[in-house]
Amino acid sequence: MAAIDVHSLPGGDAPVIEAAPAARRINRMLAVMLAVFVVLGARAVQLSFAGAPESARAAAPAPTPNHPVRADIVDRNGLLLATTLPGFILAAEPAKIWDPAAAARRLAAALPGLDAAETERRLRSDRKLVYLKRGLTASQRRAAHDLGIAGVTFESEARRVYPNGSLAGHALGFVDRDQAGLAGVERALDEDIRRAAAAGRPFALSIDLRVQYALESELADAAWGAKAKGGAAVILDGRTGETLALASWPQVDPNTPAAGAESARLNRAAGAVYEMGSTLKPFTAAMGLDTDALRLAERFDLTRTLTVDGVAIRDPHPFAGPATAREAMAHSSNVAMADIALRLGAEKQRAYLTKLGLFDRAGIELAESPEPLRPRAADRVTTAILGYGHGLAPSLVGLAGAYTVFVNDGARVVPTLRRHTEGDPVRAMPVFSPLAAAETLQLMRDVVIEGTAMRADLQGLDIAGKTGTAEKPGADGKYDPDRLFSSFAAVFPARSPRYVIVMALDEPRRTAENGNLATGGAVAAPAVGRTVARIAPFLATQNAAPSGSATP
Amino acid sequence: MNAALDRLHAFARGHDRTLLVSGVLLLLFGFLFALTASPAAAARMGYDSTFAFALRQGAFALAAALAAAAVCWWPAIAVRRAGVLMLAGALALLALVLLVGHEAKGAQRWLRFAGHSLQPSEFAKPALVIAMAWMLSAGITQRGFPGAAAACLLYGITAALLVPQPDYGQTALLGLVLAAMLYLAGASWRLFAGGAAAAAIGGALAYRMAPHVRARIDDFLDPGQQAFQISRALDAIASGGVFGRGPGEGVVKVSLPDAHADFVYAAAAEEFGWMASIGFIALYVLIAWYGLRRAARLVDPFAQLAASGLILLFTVQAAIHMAVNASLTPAKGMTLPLVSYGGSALIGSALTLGLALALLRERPGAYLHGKAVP
Repeated sequence: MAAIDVHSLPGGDAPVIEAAPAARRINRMLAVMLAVFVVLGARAVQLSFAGAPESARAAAPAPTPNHPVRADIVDRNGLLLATTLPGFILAAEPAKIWDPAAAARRLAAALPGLDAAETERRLRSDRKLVYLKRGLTASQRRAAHDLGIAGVTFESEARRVYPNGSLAGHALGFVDRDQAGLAGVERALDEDIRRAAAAGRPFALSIDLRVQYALESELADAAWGAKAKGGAAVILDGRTGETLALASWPQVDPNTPAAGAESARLNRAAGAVYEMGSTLKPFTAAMGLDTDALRLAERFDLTRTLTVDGVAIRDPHPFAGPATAREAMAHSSNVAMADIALRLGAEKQRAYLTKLGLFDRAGIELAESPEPLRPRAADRVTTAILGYGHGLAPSLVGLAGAYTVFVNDGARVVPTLRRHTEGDPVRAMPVFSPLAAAETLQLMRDVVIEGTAMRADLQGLDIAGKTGTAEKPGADGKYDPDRLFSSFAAVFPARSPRYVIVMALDEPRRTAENGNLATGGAVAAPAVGRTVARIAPFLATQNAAPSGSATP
Repeated sequence: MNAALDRLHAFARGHDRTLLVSGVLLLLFGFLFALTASPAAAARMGYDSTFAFALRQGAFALAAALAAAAVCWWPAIAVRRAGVLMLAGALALLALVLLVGHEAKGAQRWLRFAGHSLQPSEFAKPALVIAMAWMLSAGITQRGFPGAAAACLLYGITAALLVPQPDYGQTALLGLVLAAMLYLAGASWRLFAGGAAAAAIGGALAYRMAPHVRARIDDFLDPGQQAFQISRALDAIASGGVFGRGPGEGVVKVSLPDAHADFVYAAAAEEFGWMASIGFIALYVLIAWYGLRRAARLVDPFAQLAASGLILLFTVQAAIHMAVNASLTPAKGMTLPLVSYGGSALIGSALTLGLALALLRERPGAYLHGKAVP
C-alpha cells in the first residue's frame, strides 16, 4: 500500500495549514499492519484446509496399534512372549443417549464384565463424554457397535497381550492401561522396550520358552505334590549369566494380573528373599579349600556337639565314625561347616560372601529384586551358623548367581534377562581358585551320588548340587520345624559345567508322594532331576566342550 | 422507525461509519460467541447457570457500548484530560493490585470488590497511549520539550507496575505501541536502537527469570513439544474448516481452556469457519485501514498521535491474539478486543475505540483541507 502524498492533493489553493505531521509514517504503519493481517488470514486459510500441522497431531497421546510404543517381547529363539494389539475404549456422549437405563442394560448384556448400574449412572451424568470400559477387543467393539445405540462411541487404544498366558508371567511382568510397565521385564526394561519399538524391532530376552515351560510345569507338579504354599525356580546359563527360565508358583497371568491372588503376583524367584540354609554350604567348603583352612583328606567327628560361645551346634542324625569332608557335605553336616567357618573367621567369610554377591541385590535387572537380609552381628556364633547357611536370606536368583562360580572356574557371573549375543564380553568376577571350585563341585556331585540329593541323579547327566532344608522362623521368633523352606541348588553337567538350576518350595508338607519327607532332597531334588531330564536334550549339553568356559 | 433512524444518523454524524459498524459487529459477534461458548465454559468452571457467561457478557457489552458512545463525542482536549486522569487512576490501582490484588491463573492482576473483579491494566493501556501521545506531541510543538523521553518514562512507570504481576504480555504490547508512536512522532533512529536493545535485554531477562516465559518460548521453538492449549487451538481452527461446525457444535473447544477469552478466536473458527477466522481479520483490517487513514489526515499532532496510537493498540492486540491462536508466536494470553469475555477487557477495548472515534470525528479544522477522506 503506497503512502499517500498529501502535498499533491487537490485544494492547494486553500490557505496552507500545517500539513498533517505524520501522514506518511502513519500510512507506512498501516501497510505493516495490513501485511500482518494478510499473514494471519493466510495462516487461517492454511489451517482450515491443510488441517492442523503435524506438530499438533504429534502432541496427541493415544498410542495406536500401528505405532505401538512398546515393542514385541520375544524369547531367545524369537518366539513371541508379548505383543501389542489394537484395543478400544467404550465411550458415550450422555446427551445423545435416548434411554440410559435401556442402553446400560443392553451394553451390559453384550459385554460381560460391564456393570449395568454403574454404566447407567455414568450415562446419566451431565458430562460431554463418559468412558464406560477399556480394553475392548475388536469383536467386543463390534458387538457393542451392533447394538445400534446412538451416542455410543469408541476410541482406539493399545492393548498389551501375552499370548502364552501365565507362561513366564513373573519374568515378563505387566503394564498398566496406558502402556507403562508395572512389573517384571516390562517395568525394568521399559526404556529398552520402547527404544526397540521406535527402531521397529522386537526385544529379545534370555528366556528360552521350552526351558521355561519344562521348569514351570515341574515346579507346579512339585508344589502341588507337596501341597506347598509357594515355589520358585530359576535356570541360568552359568557362562553368560542368561536367565533361561524364571518360575514362581502360584503362576500369574500377565493378561489379567489383578485376577489372581495378591500372593500369586509375588515373584518368589527374583522378588523375595529366603533363608536358604544348607544350599549355602558349598560356599563354606569352597572358602575352606581356597584358603587351605580345609583339606579334603581331613576327618571330622560329627557326633560331637560344637559349643560356640554357649550356643550348641550339633547334627540331628550324625554320621557315625570319622567323616571325610566329602561325607560331611553329602550328609549336610552343620558341625563340620560351622567348624570350617570358625577357622576362616568372620572377616574372610564376609569378604567371600560379598564377592559371591550374596550381600547385595541379585544383579538381575528386575526392579522387584530386593536387598538380601544380612547378618547384623559379626560374632563367632553368627559366623558359625552362617557356615551352614543360617542368618542370611538372599533371593533365589541371587543364590543361582553365586552358584555360577562352579561353572566358571571359580568366577561369578551376574544373572541377566537380556539375550546374550555371541561375542559380547561376559563380566566374570573371580571368587575362588579354579581348583577350589572344581573340588567343591566334586563334593556336590557326591551329594547327588550318595548324599541327600540322590533322587536328583540321572543316568548320563551328571548333576552336582546341594540340598537345603531351612526351618522358617515361627511366631515366637524361634525356628519352626513344621514350616520349612526346602531347596535344591545344582550345576550340570558336572563334567563340563554350564547350567545352574535352583528350585525351592515354600512350606512343603510331608505327603505320601514324597515319602513323608519335606526336605529339599525329598521335594526339590527330584523335581530338578525331572526338569533337567526334560531340558537337557535341547540344551546341547553333550556337545559342550570340556574345557569351554567363560573368560574369567 | 424513521425517527429512530434519523436519531441514529444524527449520532453517527461526523464519525466514520465503517469504524462504528465494525466496532458494533465485533461486540455483537462477541456476544453471539459467548452464547455458544458459555455452556462449555460454565460447565467447566462449575457455574450453576448454563448461560451465566453469556448473560454477563451481554451486560458487559452493553456497558462497553454505552461507555464508547459517551466518550466518542468528547473534544480532543477532553480526551487528553480524561486520558491523563485515567492513567493516574489506573497506575494507582495497579500499585494497589500488587498489594492486595486477587490472584488467578498464577498472576496477580485483579482487584476484587463487592463480588466483582477489576483488571486495572485494561484501563491503563488506552490511558497510557493518550498520555504518551500528549508528551510526544508536546515534543513536536514545543521546542526543547523532551517528548520522547517523557513518553518513555511514562511507559517505564507502567511497565514497572505490570511486570511484577507478572504481565509480560501487556508490557510487550505497550512497548510495541510505544515504538510505533515514537516512529510516528519522528523519533531518532538512535532512540530506536536503544529501545530495541532495552527490549532485547528485557526479553532475555524474562526468558531467564520467568519459568513460564521460558517454557512458552521453548514450546514454540520446538514443535514436537507443543503446549496442550496451542495444539488444541490448532485442532479447533483445523476442525472448523471453511464453513465451521455450526454454532454451538464445537467439540474441541470443550477441552480448550479459556475458549471464551484468550482462545476465543480458535474456538470461534471451529464453529463458524472462515466466517469467523477471516471475518474477524476483515473487521480489524477495516478498523486499521479507516482509523489510520483518517488519522493520517489529522492536523493536530496530539490528535494524530493519540488516534493512531489507540487504533494501533486495538489492532496490534487483536493481531497478537490471533497469532497466538494460530501458533505463529509463542503462547501469550491476550484477549481479542471487543470480543473476548471479561468486563475490564471489554470496557477497556470499547474505551480505546471510543476515544479514537472522538479524536477521528470530523469537525471544523481537524482535518487537512477540511476533509477526513481525500
